[in-house]
Amino acid sequence: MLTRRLFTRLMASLAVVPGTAAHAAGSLLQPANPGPLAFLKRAFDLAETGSSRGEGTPYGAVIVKNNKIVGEGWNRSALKTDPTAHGEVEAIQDACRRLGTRDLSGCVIYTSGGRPCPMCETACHWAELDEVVYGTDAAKPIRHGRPRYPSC
Amino acid sequence: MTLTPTDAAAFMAKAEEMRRRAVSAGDQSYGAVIVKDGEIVGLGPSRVVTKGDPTAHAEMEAIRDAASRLKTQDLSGCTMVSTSKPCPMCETAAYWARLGRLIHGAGLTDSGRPEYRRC
Repeated sequence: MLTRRLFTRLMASLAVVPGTAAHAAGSLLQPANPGPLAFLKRAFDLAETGSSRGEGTPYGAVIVKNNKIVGEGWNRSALKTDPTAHGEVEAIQDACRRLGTRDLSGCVIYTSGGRPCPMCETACHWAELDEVVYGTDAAKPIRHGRPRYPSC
Repeated sequence: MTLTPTDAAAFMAKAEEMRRRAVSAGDQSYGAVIVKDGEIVGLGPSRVVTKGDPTAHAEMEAIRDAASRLKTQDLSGCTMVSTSKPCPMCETAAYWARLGRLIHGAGLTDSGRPEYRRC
């Protein structure tokens, strides 16, 4: 059974080649009036969609480059049985796949809820994101600046 | 859940094997394993380069693997053994996974239970 599981994982990893069109699942919905409010609103919509499907807790995130959404994610920890599948991590992985790079400099992450947890904020740091914007109120984006790497 | 120094060294050897696996695949030089009741339940070579995923550190991969194999996000009672000190992303992931204990490095440093730290 273990071998079968490993085989499945291997096949999945082979089928998923970063940067290929096959990998980037579906096109991304772009807001009619792009801007911080619209991007944060989209993060909230993704949070709602994911949690209403029972895929995880209600958190969503989008990654924006040049005023365009280049990656999206929502908490899928229940769906994937993966405690690391927070909305921000999922959005980073999605943007990296779509852009074919793990260097997201020049990008901003918009995430629903409070300040990202240290796992997610450090993931933003490793992905070299320029800026984190969050909000517990979709109408009030909070600019957090560059992701901080906890130094303790 | 006690791990004797001999056991810890044996699991570190496995983590080292994961590190070598990562390097031979052209990836970053890190490895980790997750142990429960004296058995390895999760393997993590770093896959940052091979998956093009900045979050695919060895510890994150080991946690994902263990959660997937054990079919639960709750890894309480498990110990993570990693070749280097986990970064804040990985330590917080270990906190969310409720890992009981972290051991890292050739010196088998025991840093205990992972913490949620903002600084």
